Amino acid sequence: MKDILVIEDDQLILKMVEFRLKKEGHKVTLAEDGNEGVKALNDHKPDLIITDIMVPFKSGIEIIEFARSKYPNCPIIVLSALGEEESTVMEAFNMGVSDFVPKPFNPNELAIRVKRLIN
Amino acid sequence: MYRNYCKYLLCFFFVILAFTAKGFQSNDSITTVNFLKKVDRVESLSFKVSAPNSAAHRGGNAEAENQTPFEQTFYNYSSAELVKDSLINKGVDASIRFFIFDDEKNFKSIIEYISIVRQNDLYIPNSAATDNNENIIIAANRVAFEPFYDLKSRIFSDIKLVLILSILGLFLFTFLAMLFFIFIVRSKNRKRKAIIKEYKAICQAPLSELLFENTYEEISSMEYETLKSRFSNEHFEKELFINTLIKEIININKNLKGDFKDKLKEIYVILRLDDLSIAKLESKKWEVQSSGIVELYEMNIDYAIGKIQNLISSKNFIVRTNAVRALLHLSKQKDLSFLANQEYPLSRWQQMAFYRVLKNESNNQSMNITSLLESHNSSIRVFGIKLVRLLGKMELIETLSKMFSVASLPEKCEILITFKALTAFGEVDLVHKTLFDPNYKLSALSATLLGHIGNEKSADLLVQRLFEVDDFQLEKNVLTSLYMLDEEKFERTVKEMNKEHIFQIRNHIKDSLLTYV
Repeated sequence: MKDILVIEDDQLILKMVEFRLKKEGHKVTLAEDGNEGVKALNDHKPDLIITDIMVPFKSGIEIIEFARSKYPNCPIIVLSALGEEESTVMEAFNMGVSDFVPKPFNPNELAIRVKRLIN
Repeated sequence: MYRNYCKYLLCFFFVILAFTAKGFQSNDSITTVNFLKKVDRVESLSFKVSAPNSAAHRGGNAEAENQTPFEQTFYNYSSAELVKDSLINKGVDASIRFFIFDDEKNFKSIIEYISIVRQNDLYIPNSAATDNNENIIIAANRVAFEPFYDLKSRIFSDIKLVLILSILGLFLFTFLAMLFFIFIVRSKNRKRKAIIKEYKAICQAPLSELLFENTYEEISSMEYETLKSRFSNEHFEKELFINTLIKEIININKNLKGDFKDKLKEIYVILRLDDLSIAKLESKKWEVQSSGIVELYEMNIDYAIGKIQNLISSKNFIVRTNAVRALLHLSKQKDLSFLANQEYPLSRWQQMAFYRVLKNESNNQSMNITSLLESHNSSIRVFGIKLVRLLGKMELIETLSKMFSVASLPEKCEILITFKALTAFGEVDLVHKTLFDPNYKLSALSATLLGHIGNEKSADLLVQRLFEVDDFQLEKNVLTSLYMLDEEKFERTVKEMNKEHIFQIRNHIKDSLLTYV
């Protein structure tokens, strides 16, 4: 069982991802904004981070930067709308994110990508 | 003469003063005498009782007194009159003479003087009168005090005060009413948000289970009652719960892809939420109509096309835009003739919204863009030309060429831009004509276009046009195109023209670093 941190401001998407990942047997920690995400990262080291780019209080880029400085080897998946700034997505990749899942997304596909990164 | 004049002037002044200072008062002899009787003394006024014999002299030698006329000065008129009356009673012919500043005056002068004295309060009241006043005060003290003006009636008798108080009262009332209204609205909103949050939580678990635990076939086979019971039978009767559920389904539908979309649509239809969305189209409120259209659009409810079609000519801009957008998205044939018949002008925002729908359509080949180009509405025709360009409809270039002669200026500009985007070599003759159009904007666009689709003849025409114009932008466009078509001719023309700014344009064109500046 792996510990996955999901940072997403849309509560329904958060619950969907939680439901799908729990079905795979993972332990899922949820954060609805940037502050909660950073707090969760301070509290414990997750095995994988799934984060949105546009979240309240702290941007996804700040979260990625913080996660990279604290846990350099922790895989990160960015879950974001393609309509968002291309430069922001590129910046995320430059910071070393492991994967990018554009919205709308297929939760089954996300689960496969998670499995690939964790294993 | 001068003295007399001053006297008259003084008299006139006194008379005016008597009439104006306190208003007109009666100044007859009776009033004057009554006044003199009432007062103790009047400043500078004295009375002398005089008699021709000594009979009036009290307690004196009769003989001696017979030879001396009687005369006594008084300052109180009543005393003077008393003495005079007593003398008359004794048979003495007595009279009162009047003196002002020891000058004897006739009674007429005294009347005038008294009038002035009364107006200016230059007299000492009679002590008897004072006594009377004191008596009045004592009597008044025995009566309970009652104000002459009642406070309420006094306030209301002052119209300005009443107005100011009314305005202040109105402001205060409005302020309190607004405060109360804001408080009620905020409280309602807070309550509503809390309920929505609760409803969202209720919707999340069954939706997740249905999407991840059930297959599409399993969901399709479910009955209305079965599916309803998965959520909440109790809440399903509430409008807010239904609307929250619709929003949640649409939200997931936007964010998920694959077979999840089909499952969501099935849930939406089985729960009869489509009927509710369609019913919203009948609402009189534009925001309800709009939300209904968006729901049907997002959930791909194509059988609602007929109802949505009724709203494409709505007076409300948002309803109209959403209806057209939904119709473009939902209709399978993509027949744009309904758009061609629009009476309202299409804004740039609407054009962008409609284009976003059309560009994602896989079967855009069946789109009847010609109907847009034939529309009676100029903005629709402009949109049609843009669609030809954006969707790469090469087959419609000839149609654009035919409509050019009767097109408006914005349409002509769009056609030229489209020719450039689609590299319409076949339309070079048309562009040669527009190069000499009196409208500089059209001419400049044609000049630029010739750089891309022009030929040898175009280069000659560009040189000809260059010698005719004095507009900087047009000169720049012509030179740029000429450089692209024939560099040698370009250099020769620049030299021939021999103008400072033409050399500057040439340097700018030839400098590779400044190409995009």
